[in-house]
Amino acid sequence: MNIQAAGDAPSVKPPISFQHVSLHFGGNPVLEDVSLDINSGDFLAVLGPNGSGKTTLLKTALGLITPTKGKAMIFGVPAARFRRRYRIGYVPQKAGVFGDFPATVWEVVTTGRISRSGFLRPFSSQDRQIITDVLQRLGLEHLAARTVRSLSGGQRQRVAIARALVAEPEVLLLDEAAEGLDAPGEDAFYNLLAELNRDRGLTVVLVTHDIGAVSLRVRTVICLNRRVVFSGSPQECLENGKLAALYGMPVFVPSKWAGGREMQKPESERAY
Amino acid sequence: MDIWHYGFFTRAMMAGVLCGALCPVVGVFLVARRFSFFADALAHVSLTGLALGLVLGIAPGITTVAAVVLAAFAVEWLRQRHRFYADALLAAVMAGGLALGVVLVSKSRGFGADLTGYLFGSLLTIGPTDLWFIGIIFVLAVVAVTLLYKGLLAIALDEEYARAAGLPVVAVNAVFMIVAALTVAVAIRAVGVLLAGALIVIPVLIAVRLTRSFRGALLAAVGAGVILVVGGLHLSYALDLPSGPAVVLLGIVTLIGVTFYRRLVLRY
Repeated sequence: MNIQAAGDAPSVKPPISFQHVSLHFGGNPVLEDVSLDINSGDFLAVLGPNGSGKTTLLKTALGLITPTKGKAMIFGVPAARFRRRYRIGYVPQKAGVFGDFPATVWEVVTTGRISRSGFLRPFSSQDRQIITDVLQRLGLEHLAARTVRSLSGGQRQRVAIARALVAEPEVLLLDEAAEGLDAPGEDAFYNLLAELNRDRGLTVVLVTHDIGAVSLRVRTVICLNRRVVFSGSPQECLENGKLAALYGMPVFVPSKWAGGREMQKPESERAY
Repeated sequence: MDIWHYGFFTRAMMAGVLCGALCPVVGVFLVARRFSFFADALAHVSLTGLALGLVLGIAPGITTVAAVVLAAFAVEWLRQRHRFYADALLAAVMAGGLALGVVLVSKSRGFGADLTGYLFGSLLTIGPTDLWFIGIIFVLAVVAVTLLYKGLLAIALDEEYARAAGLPVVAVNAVFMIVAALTVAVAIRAVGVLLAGALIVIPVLIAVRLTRSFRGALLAAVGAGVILVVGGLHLSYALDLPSGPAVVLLGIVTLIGVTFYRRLVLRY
């Protein structure tokens, strides 16, 4: 298990570290005393019901939101002051939309390279080569000149991932990035993330409420409901009734995802 | 007699070409950000600036530019804090700028005959000083947008992502607000307060119907802006129409034509 209590961190600074982070919006608690370290090479899912603080956790990790209490660190530096942003790739919620204004796949993906190449400097031939390589790897090279608005949901999702990957990040944070994909598209999406984690050693942090789709692929699950209520392997999460506690109702996970274990509830009690 | 022999027409045409090329450069980024009414709001605030100049006895050109730049920063500050009400805020700023301007004008006695030119533009009365003013703003804006193009594109496509990627969003937006405010000041000179927003937005709407990339839309919008201003000025001269409305009406007709062309001929 890669999740460690804060304070037990190894000598190498973890890519993402939360130390007793609390956050309030308008007096309402969104995160309460969250402490966790996410280590290099992990493949991790953050699960939780709507309003549990998942997206806020991610934005705090990125330094987009400042905690009310505690510290959010990126590679040992307070997130808001972290400068080498290219080390953290980000695929935001609804990233596949990109608006209706005409922009080609190439144009959208190149914006992800700016944090690495420099803001005022034109793209070098090396930058262009890396962008081309990423497009090829994600099967998007033949779509480079197409407008993003003409693509399917799955293709747009790959464009969003490509935009994050062209900065050559060490960590990829994804916020409900598979939402709206059909079953084959979702499968291909998770396989791609698993491949990037395995082949490139990319640390992947996936915010989702889709436990079934991720449980066979991720190594670690964090259940969040303002606080971290569980962290451990997907199997432990599925077996110990943690999901039912998290969602406040019985949760049915199809046996395919539960690794052959039936966890079926009566039809009337099922929630997905 | 050939109209090009008239100095006023040559100056009008030169200023018009610069305005027609400049306005869509700003317009592309405003439309992509879904912030098209920004230009209209600033144009209305300019009335307050103009009236302040008249009341205080300062050159109205200076107070107008100052008011528009200040309003641009105020609008951007409000937008950052109230994203979901950004359009309503623009409506409030637009109405407030106009109302304050009218109140101030009512207290001054110097407006009178210039009001029509101010409201609807007066390219044909542009003097050499105005032409220099427009030319300098054109060069500044083109240099700024060229240097900041990568950042402006990233922000226009996805501002939250640009922030997460560590791009200097606040600084880029600040420079863009200044460029946009100065462009509005130029557009007011060309087509007036009431039509400035149209010159900034209509060429972009024409361009996005014909292009498939951001860069293509930018270049096509610049081309459309120049053609509309040049065509509108010729129409104005030939049919004895006010120049600002002639430019805008030509733009609307072109937009309708391009929309039908795309639907019926290009079929997408």
